Amino acid sequence: MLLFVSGEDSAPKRKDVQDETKAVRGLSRSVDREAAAENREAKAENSLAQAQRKSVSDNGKSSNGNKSGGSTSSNNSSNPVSMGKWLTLTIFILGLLEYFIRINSTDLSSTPFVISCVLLLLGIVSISLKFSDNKYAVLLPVLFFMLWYFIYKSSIDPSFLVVFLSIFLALSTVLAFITKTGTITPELVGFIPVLFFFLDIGLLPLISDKLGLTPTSLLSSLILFMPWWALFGLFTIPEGTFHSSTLEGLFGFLKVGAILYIIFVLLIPAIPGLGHDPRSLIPETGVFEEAQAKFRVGQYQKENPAWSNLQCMFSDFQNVADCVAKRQEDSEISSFCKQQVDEGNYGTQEVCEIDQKKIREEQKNAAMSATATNFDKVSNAQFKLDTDKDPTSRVFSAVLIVDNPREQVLSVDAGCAIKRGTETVAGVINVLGKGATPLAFTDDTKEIPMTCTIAKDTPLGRYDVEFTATIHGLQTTSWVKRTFFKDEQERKRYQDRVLADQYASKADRLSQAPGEFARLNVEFGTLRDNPLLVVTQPAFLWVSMENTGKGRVGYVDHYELTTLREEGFSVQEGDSSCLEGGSRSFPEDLTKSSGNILFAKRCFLSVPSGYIGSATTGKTETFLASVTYDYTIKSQIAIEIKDVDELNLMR
Amino acid sequence: MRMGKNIRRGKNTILRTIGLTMLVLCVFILSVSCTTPKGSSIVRNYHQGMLSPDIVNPLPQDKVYEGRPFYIPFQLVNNAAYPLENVVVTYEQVDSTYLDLYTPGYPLSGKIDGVGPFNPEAVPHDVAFDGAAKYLKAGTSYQDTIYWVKTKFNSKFSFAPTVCVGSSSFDIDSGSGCKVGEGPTTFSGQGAPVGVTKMEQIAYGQFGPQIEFRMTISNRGPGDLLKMKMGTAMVGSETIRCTFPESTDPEGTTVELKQGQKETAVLCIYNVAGSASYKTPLSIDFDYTYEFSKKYNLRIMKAGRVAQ
Repeated sequence: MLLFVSGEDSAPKRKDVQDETKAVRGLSRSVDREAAAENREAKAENSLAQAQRKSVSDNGKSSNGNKSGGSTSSNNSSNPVSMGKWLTLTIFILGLLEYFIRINSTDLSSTPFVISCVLLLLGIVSISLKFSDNKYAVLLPVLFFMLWYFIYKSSIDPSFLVVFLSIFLALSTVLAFITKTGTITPELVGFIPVLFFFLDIGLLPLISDKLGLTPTSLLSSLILFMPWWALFGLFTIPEGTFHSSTLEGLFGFLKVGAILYIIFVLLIPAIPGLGHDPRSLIPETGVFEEAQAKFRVGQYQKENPAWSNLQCMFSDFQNVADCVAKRQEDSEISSFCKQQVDEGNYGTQEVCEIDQKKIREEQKNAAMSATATNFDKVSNAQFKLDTDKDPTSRVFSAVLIVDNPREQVLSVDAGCAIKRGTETVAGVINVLGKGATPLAFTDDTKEIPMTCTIAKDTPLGRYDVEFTATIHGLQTTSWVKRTFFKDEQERKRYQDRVLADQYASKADRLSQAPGEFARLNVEFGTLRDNPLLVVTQPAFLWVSMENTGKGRVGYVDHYELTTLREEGFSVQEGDSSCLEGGSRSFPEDLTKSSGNILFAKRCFLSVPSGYIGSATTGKTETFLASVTYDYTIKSQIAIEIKDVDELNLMR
Repeated sequence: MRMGKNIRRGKNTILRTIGLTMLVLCVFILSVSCTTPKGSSIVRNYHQGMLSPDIVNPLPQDKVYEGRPFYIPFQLVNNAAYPLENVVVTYEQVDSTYLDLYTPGYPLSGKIDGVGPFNPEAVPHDVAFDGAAKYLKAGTSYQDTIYWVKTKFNSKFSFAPTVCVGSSSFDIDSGSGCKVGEGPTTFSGQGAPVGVTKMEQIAYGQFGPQIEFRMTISNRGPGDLLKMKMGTAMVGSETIRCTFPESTDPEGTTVELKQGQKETAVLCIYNVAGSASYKTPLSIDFDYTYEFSKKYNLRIMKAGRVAQ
């Protein structure tokens, strides 16, 4: 308190008194504030003490319970942290079990799927235990996912999704507002178990099957060889779970090992993009497992790429990539041949493996081709499916549209099947009202309407209706241009000009064919990609047939390198069927494993004498080759058969 | 009196003006009216520069229809200053898958005269490309193909410069006014696709002096010089010996050029008789074999029917 004493007059004195009063009042206010703060602190301490007393009493009760059960667990074994530890351990062990059951079982089994569902529930609980407040928010994304999947049949119709997602976001926003953003993190974390659920049960192979995408071999490895739930459990085990340092160290080592495992296997770019499709992509529960099994069967079990990587690192560390590719190929051939021997297509595994290795070697060296650009119309065939129909009807219609600009004599065999996962039931096809009778025509454009009828006793539910058409008698012509010189001197003199004038682009050096279903690829010369030959030197010929469409070549009736035969070229050494052959079938399994190249042949040709004639700057000629074959195309549509009553109820 | 003087001045001015005008008109008339007198003309020297025979097409045609004959009227014109012999015009790189040739080539007999004072415009010789287009592969809308018109011939050219010969290689001889062994001289050609483009004179040897003529023959035409043969070589009225250093024959008088080779050398040795320098003509004849090709494009069009 400061007093200003002035002896001059009374006004300053009054001011001094007022100032003193103000100072006193300020001091008393600050004292009050301090007292209030002390009160608050005391209250907080009281609350904390109460809470501690309560937890001690709870621990006492639980320890009493444990003692009665004969357990030797610690006092903290049943609190949320403890429960979380055991849950994550359970998820880890159960995840490993589920993974081994899945990869070792080629039969359709719903056991892995059921285990995966259980693991999803455990995962949700373990994630929610990590939050002390607002843990219920973890359930929000899970609930919405279940709603979308089970109630709304996983619809991806844009108009529905806009409303659905808006509701979800609105609810999330309200909750976040009420809890002052306390629910955002739990909601986001709640997506993790849902994501792992999908990754584990085979979303990717199903999309591959539905959309017809072909995953890379590394993506296949990701699909088939990643124990998702085990990884989830391993990485969510809290630190300090184990009182034993040995166990802590072991699980730490496992975590490192898991990371290394992911690095070995996970070497892919983004997952193939999903196309917009108003239909639902995901069928009912349980079909995932069937789709993954079907995918796995189609892939012919390869060796675990992580194991291949590990083996190659020790055996051929300077050439790991090639070593892994070879091991993968060898394991695929072994798996394929085992199946072929079981089916009776080959006598012994050894013979089959030798044959398959030879086929793959030839395919690697198969001739290349370019698509001709001077065709105004090419042969084509496609289905136009009727997507707008009565859902209670069991008759489905489609139109096969065939473009036949060269007015070839073609015939079409049609068929249909009803599929659910890997189960297939033949439907009753009716082409132009004449049943399944093959239809022959020469029109340049032909529209063939057909229907597929499902049996009346087919249960209600979701199916795929697949229409199939095999077109017989297709013929595609290829051609390749080459220049022959009478001797090396003439070749040296004119090669630059000939290359500049006749082979200006790379496509001029390759064989060409119209962009149709399949084609012959032809290369010949003294060197690959060299279109200049000297008649005194041997001419090496590569011929291969390539499937360039989206369907399948089922049968090759005849192929011929017409001009070479007419000009008098003959096979000097090598495959005698280089210039002509045919009458060969290609089963579906074989074409799947062989890729786009159906067959490849190599031989040496002898040039007929007098071929050059009077040409003095080299003789350039275009050599034609043609192949006649059968081609099968398929198209399917997802349908759902409903009861009339159910339909009326929905309306 | 004053008035008269003025009148005189005015008259003088008028007369001066008229006179100047007449003078200008006369000069103008003389300059535009006079021609060279009869009997004298400016003579073009055809034996210089690089001139070459050519294939021309007065009616270009780059499209034909499948299954239809065609006729493309090519012509050979000899724009060089020397006649051509053993001329053969052929059609090369014709893909028999698409085109049938009625006449694969034209061997033209006799000489094909070149241009000269009495033949300033080359006479065209018909070498038509005629045949038929085959039907296209089923489904194609067109097919592009190329062909070459190749011309091969024998011809010659003469190189006849004036040179300074003598034994003194240092000073200008005051009598002749020429210096022996001057630096390289360049030439534009001798009216053929091939010609001497550079010459050097090297004088040496105090006792038994000689002059070495080193020449470069260049191919500046559109084609390839296949072969050369030395003809008669003279300095004044005296025959001299000339060889091709790149020749593989013992005489050294013929040379075959490699693919893409554009130049070759010629070496002539002249034994100088006296010591005085003087100007005299050097004359060398060369025979050569030459060929050139021209590329043409041809598109075979679909004729609006389904091809067989």
